[in-house]
Amino acid sequence: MQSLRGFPHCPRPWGKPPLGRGEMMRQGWRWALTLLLWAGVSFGMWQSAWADNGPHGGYTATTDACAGCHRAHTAQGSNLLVASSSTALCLTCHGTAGTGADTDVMDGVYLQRTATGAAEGVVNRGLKGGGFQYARMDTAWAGVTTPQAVTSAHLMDGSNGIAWGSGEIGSGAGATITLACISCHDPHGGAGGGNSPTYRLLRPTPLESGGGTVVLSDEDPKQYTIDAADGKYFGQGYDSNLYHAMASWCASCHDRYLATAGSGHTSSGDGIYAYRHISVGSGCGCHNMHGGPPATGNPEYRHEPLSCLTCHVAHGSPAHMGGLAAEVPWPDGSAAPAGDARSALLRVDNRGTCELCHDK
Amino acid sequence: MKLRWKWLVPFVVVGLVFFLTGTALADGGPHGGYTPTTDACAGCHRAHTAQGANLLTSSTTYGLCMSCHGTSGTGADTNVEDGYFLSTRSTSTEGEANTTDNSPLLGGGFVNYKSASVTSSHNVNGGITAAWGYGVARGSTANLPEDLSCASCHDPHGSPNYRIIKANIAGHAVSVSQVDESAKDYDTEQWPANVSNVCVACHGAYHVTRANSGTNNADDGSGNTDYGGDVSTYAHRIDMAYNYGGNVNPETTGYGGYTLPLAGTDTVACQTCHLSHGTSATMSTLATAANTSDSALLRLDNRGVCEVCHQK
Repeated sequence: MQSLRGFPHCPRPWGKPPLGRGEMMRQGWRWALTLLLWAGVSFGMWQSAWADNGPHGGYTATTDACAGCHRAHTAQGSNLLVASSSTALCLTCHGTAGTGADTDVMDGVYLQRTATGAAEGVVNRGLKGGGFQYARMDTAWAGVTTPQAVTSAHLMDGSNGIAWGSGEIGSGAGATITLACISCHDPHGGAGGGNSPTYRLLRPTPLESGGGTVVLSDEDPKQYTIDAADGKYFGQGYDSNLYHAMASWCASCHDRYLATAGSGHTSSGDGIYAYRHISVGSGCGCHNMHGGPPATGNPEYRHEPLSCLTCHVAHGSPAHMGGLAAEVPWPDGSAAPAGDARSALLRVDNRGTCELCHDK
Repeated sequence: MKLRWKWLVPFVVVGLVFFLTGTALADGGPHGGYTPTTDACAGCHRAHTAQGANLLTSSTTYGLCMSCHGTSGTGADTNVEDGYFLSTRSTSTEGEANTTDNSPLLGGGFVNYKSASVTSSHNVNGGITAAWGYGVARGSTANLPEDLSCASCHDPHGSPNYRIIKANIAGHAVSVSQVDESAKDYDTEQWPANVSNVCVACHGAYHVTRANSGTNNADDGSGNTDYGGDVSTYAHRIDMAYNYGGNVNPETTGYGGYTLPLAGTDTVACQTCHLSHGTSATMSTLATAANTSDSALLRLDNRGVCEVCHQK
């Protein structure tokens, strides 16, 4: 092993007398330490800004991460998983009793249950995506932040469901697909191409979505919880670039829900999804079509960019549906299930998401 | 001791005013009074699966309104197509306390009225834009800014006006005081004195309010432009006391068993002679000769509306 001790004497370029052996070694150590320090800081910052979290990506040649989820010879599930299914595996860390992540997606809350890393959310506050079983969402707009059982959620257990609006114009209500956590999230991270991370490990092309690629840039720094301490999910802010791209990403499965300004006045030609509320862009686009801002409308929201996430959460919502909102038929015309089951992952009870913007 | 309670008086007054105002301004059904978590939007709109513009569940405004208020509608007791009230049509109890089952609606009907086919009506199923006296002389028409529909006159999202009449119709501000909102009455008029205002928005040239307008067609120079400056013909005065010229009260006395409703207690309004939606009145011989053969939404056959007051 070569050491600095073996370095030859070098003339100093600016004409000063050559350094002695001891002085040269001291200089060398200084440079090496500076270099190491710089590299360490840079690497740390890069990790913080762009890394996929936990065992999800950023692997080195000698990574230990594989062992978190896989067994080479004693696996309990396909793909050599340590659990019987991919979803069961995800929940060993992200479930109610999980201990491997601060994001408890079943209860829709951020917890301080891992010892490592800086806080990426407010402890005991609701996750942006809501929850699959419970959520701390004030859907009643009444100042309640206690956990409530969700009334609608995306499937995540590998069962089949209809992806409403999937497919081309005129292709019916939607195709039946299988949904699990890994349908949307890539557990190995680096999904953005060139091993770059994506927002929440989201796949550019969700499984069974039928194609299309939408790369969602990761956020920096990560913030898993909503801004509002009072549990009001409506009005939650997102980066505008992510916000718009997210609508296109949702439309990977829900193709015909993607609608730009004017879609509420012009038919798409589809028999079911004919006239559609804008789901990407800005409400200003609508206002401009009518010659200026409307006389009504909540000024707090009406100029905000619009996305699917304006009204819906990604995982699940405890919103309640009553009266007319409980009787809305499904896109295929079926009436059941009705009631709270028609909450469609909305952020507010009934049609609060309409009223809070339109202020009729 | 007396002084101790005096401070409560303003609170009681404010409370009463608030209570009464809240009651008076209530709109019916899904039409207004929305809370932040209202379910009402879902009654008429779909965010992603709408079948008509403005995200309506029906392809037309008329179709949507009739899904509740039409012949086979089940969402409201007011059947405006057939022009009658029936409490068993819907779960709503609106107006049931003061309205008799099967009684004709105050506005008439769009298809039938009093069990007979209408002979004239406002065509609110789209396609009609021309309105008599809309910024032009009486006897002439001009086009409205948009096709006539239910939503041309009524604001489905509620309004400060009687019967959710829009606060602005065809570009004109409209004010029609609410008078029966605490206990709606769909078969006995309880109109405010300014109920003619809703008609004026589209038929301004017919709204002649100055005295002697039937004998003097000159501009009186008072700045009164209610009638659109139209001095081309003489016109019956509107929004006048019924007893002008010594007429009997057409609402309480009438003639030959026929009566006509007054606005307020004594005001002859447009609606005194005309129905807002449609009529089944029939016109014969001389009554068909004046300009058109239709019944002009009149409340009574031929010129019964003249005779009930004037009793010539």
